[in-house]
Amino acid sequence: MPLYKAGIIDYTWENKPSVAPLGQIICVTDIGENGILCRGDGTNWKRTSHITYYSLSGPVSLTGTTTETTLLTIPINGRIMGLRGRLVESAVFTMTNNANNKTFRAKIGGSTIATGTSSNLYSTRLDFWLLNRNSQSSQYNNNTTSFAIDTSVDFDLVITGQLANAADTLTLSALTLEAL
Amino acid sequence: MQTILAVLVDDVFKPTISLPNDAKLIVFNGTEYIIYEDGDEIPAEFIGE
Repeated sequence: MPLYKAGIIDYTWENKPSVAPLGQIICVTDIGENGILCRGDGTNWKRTSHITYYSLSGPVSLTGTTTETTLLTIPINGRIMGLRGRLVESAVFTMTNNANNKTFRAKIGGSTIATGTSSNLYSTRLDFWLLNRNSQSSQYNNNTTSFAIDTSVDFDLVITGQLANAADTLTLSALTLEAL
Repeated sequence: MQTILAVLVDDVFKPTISLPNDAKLIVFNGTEYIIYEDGDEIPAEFIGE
């Protein structure tokens, strides 16, 4: 039997069919690490499984300024979360181990979804989740803070860093974003 | 190695173009983003990050 058998048609998220026949399965090639399978429910294309949406390939370091600085921008496709989907982010930061504060934030538009400040540490984590509450424009995060972000359209998840002392270094060493 | 300029928007530095997804290391030095790719020598202070 051949390794690859045609039968599931490849699409991108943008050019997938506008109709989603019940039971039809397609592959969306530009989402996740190597594409995802979606199954039509008669109206919409629904992910068939959890996906690793993004994994950081190499570290991103910040030094030389006390101004808040963008370390990473992850474009997120509208409707990928669905009505009750959840984004789950796990990040590791390493930093100069001294008493100066290092602050890191996760933002979507004007909303800060998660934030943390560390000092006297070599490394720390910034983990959060963001859950759609049966609506694509109403969310809770893991601190039960509510948001009104329209996830039916494309948006960016932005990770920033900020140093209290410009001579220090803050590094985003690892980050994984999953869509559940 | 390439550099990407930064611009201040709403009191936050951000790159003027998208940062690459496959860089070995990216360093913002207070002025610009320095992109280290395969074959580039990583500065000693960032080895092990």
